[in-house]
Amino acid sequence: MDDRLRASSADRDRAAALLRANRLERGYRRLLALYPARYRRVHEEEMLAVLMTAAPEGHDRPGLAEAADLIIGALRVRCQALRGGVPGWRGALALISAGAVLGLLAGIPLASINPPLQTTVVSLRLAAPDSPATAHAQQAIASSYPVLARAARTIRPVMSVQSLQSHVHVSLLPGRVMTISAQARTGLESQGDADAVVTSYLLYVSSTNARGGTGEIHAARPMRVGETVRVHAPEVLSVSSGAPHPGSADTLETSGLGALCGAMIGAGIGAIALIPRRRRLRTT
Amino acid sequence: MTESSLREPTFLILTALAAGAQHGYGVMTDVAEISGGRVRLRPGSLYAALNRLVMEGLVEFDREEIVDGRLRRYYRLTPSGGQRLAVEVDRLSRTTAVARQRLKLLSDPA
Repeated sequence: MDDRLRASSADRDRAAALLRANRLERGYRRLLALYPARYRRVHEEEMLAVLMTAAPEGHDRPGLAEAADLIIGALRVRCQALRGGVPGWRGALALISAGAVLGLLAGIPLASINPPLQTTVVSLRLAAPDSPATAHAQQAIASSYPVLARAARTIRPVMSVQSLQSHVHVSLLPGRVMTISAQARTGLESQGDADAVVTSYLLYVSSTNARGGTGEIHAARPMRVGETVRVHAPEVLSVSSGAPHPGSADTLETSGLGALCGAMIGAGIGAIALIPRRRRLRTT
Repeated sequence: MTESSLREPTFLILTALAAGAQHGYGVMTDVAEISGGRVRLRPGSLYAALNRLVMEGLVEFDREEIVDGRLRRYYRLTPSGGQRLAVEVDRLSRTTAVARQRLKLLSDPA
């Protein structure tokens, strides 16, 4: 009985070790994918064997230093492949391709640190105002301090009016449509922010109407997609909220930054890859 | 290229292979031993260096083995690799001889 228990725990240990080794191997293969295809065909298995042998005991993914070593190694081999007897412009090409590989690598952490902002656009169709000035007045109201301040109070986590102001944009479209768009890190947040501003705006407008004595007020709750709200002067005919989507400008900005970052790091690492050939041997 | 001196890792790799063919991991451990643990090559650096040495004709493939289901490829010095190492050793020993001589003058000015 005792023996059987011990055997099964040994089995479990062995299985866990195998699992770790498998994960580690996959991690190394992902890094080896950075090497040129032709080089990989000849050397991938061989390098993997060395990596697995040299790997510290118990690790299930490549360490930072190992990863950096393989990335630099891949860049050096790429440079060597292109430098092999071909003239200078190819070397430049090698650096660009190295930069591209690094741009990709740099883009991944950058994109996860700074993901493209999500935007929710809520459209409000206003009843025919007598003059375009009315629509502009509504735009001004929707982006006014009191409206945003009230909205900011309802948003969780707490947000300052200034920061809400910088994330919310109110604009007028042809056909008496006013759009309120909000940007945030997640779709849910941007939806919440947009809804808060829309609700606050509707409350503001309706309370003004109420004071004017003509109001039928029904806006004291969050609006839902496609919901029709009747508010006097000006009447808001409908509220429709688009699904949150990444703003195209932010996607461009993030990937542009990634590329720029990649180009800079690429040039640096490319230089490191090239320099060692000229460094003299030091003896001690 | 052949005129300039060798980088230390390159020098150590050639030295490791001078004793006979070795596989990648063997070269890594040997380099660490030769340098007294001072130079520890990682796989990425080792293979980048080996690739260059093969391209320059200083090192060549020797043979392959499968050990525990894993591929081992052995490398050996080419004749020109051996020559290159010999040139480097001469150069270094001349330099160190001069250095030693001058150090002796320093400590023993008579």
